[in-house]
Amino acid sequence: MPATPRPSIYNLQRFLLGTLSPAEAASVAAWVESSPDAARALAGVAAHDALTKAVAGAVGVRPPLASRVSRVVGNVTGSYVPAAESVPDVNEQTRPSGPTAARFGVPNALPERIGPFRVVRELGRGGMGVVYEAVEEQLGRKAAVKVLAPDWAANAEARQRFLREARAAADLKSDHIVTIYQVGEADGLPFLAMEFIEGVTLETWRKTRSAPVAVEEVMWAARELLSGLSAAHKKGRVHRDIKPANAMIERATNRVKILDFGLTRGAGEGELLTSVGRVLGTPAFMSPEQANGKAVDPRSDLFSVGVTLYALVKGHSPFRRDTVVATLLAVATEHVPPLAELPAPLSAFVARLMSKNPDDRPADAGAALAELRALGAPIPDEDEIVRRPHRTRNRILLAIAAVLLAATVVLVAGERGDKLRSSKDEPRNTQELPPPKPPGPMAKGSRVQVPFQTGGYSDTWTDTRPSIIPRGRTGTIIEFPNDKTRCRVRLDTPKKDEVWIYREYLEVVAEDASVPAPAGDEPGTLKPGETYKDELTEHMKATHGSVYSTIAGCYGVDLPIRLKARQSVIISATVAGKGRRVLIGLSDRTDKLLGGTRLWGDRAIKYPHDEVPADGTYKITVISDLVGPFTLDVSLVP
Amino acid sequence: MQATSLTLLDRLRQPNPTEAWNQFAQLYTPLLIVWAKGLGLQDADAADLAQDVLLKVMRVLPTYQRKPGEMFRGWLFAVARNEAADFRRRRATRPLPGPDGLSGAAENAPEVSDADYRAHLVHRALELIRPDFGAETWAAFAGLMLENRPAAEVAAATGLTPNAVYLARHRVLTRLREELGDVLS
Repeated sequence: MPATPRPSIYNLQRFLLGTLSPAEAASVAAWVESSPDAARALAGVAAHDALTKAVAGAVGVRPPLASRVSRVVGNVTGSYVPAAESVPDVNEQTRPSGPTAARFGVPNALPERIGPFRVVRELGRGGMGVVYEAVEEQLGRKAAVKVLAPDWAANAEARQRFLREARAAADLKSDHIVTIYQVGEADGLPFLAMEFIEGVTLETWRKTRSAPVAVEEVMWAARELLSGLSAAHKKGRVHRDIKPANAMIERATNRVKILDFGLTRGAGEGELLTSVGRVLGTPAFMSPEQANGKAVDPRSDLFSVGVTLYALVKGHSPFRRDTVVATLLAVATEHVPPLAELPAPLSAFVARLMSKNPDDRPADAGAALAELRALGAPIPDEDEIVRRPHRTRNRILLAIAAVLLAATVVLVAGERGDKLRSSKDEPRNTQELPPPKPPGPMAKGSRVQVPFQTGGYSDTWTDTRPSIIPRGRTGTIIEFPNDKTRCRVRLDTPKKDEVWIYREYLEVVAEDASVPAPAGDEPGTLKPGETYKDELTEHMKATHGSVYSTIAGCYGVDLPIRLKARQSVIISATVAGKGRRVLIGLSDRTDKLLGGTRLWGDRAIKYPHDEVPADGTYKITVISDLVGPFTLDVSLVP
Repeated sequence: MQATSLTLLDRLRQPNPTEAWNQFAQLYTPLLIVWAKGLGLQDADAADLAQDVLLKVMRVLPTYQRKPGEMFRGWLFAVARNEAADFRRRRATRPLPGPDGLSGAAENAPEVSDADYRAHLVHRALELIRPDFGAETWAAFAGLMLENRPAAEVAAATGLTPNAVYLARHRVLTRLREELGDVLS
């Protein structure tokens, strides 16, 4: 083989930089491999560029935790399904479109016409399509025309649902429901033409005012929403997504009109909540049964009306939390303290709408409307109501209302505050059960324990999902921020995990750090032959009387288990409910993930034996993405 | 720095960009998490924000038109800053205290410097291509380029010839360029 000629300095430089074409690279590499003095020649070649500089700079990089990176990558790459799995957002008639508001597959160009409508301008875009302002040429009336995005239109099921539900909504006639003009298809895309409303949503109205919302305004909003819903409930329709953003106040009439009737899918129909933080707005207004994926009836809408009224007073839903999971947990379990801002009867009415058990709410919107009227206070007419964000409040009207309401307040004085518990709709048996333990004196440095298996925000591989802390786990409070709702606790685990726990779920065992960490097995460790018991659920049932979701199952469980090296064990988890999925993981005491199922499914099975390196305590983690119970079977093979 | 080449970005706007998208997410996720942590977010929240930014980028990238003189980095962080503002708004009612006990960290989001931007992308790309190489090749590359040691010393440490050490540098850098496309240029 003839000796390869020595490459030029230029090519040696490019060889070192890695910028040669494959053919050139092969020839230079051949020379380097065959020439004894290649190294000396190369040592004399200066080869620096932006990349080598960046490589030198990369040495000092402290990358984020690999598990966290891979979870984000998994989430965003797994979610790359433009048509079927992304969360639809169809309730934005008024959101302005900016340059970044364009969505996949939705053309930016303004169509000239859609069916019989001449398009005037774009009003907004959501995940499912675009809404245009348009004029119906024959009648000359204005309309808002919503067109399903091509990506969705290509999905036969989505397309059929859009048309079917739009048609179903079209036969609802009420002054308090946005009227559907026409449903059809134009240029292959389904469209829906509806009444064009000049006005703002209740959400915007609340956000843009600085003065507190007055009592009579709450009465007005309640009456308007319930009037619209009663028309629907009479026909057996359920809205499923009542919230301030789905109610428009018509500027000309001060009437509230409910948007998107029947167009939105509830989580109960398999909408996934995996995309953390993206659907927060809606779970915060969901009823417990809806959040739990159960069948909903008109009473579910009433719960959402209650939350909406609460949000009008307070500015936010009582269940609003940092994460979807925490929100769902709050919806399922937390009782809302009565609104002190409202007179007791109205406050009790709002609380009744937000009863956890649907049986404790009025039967439907019509019944709720009757109860509202029976409260005795006048409900202002639409033309009386002070509703514009920038208008000053009508003080005389307020004064009159205050006088009228004062009379009612006197009648129920003494009952106030107890209204929640003593009203006829609250199940009596809750009185006989022990009340939830009041939080003890709690401060930074206190030794605490978890009296029942509970959840906490953790920095372990489960990331933002709360990890489960077994019953009896002790720790020390290392941080207790001013809002006094939760503490950062350093747990007495081998790894000294630090988690955030709501204070209600903690019990103070000592005021200082004198109580040592327990030795031996971790509390709650499953022994062979033992079955897993969901203690938190039992506890919630005992203290609250009712639990509508098995909350331990809404995010997952961490289950300690003792395993021998290479022991065979079969772990299987099954979830019920459409669209729910589950994953299983096995990790060691330091939270290092040893193995797990990689695919989400309604059933996950794991046979860890080659993943158990030594005798010891391991942890099974089950994660499910929607609220609801799951079954976990663990069989240890002796 | 020249403007980011559109090779990866172009592929992202093809009809079926799944693979390009995976590559983009793999490459940019750590950078975005580090950026989000720079805003004062806790680790888990930073990951959530990074995820939101990626999903947003995925949605809006098809409409991204590079303006003359604009770098992709500038556009990316404009999207990211908007998303961070939304993220904060969503959590405004009940702020989760950060590691410093403060809930609202600095609103004026620190920019990721050009050098950090490149350093993180290169670091990540190196992480991603490392499994493609044998241990010796990688050790030679690392000794030469990351530890900045002379070739002879690296050769002695790895048991390779000095020539092979240079070959290792060549192979890894060639592969690294391929992985990064022209995102650094």
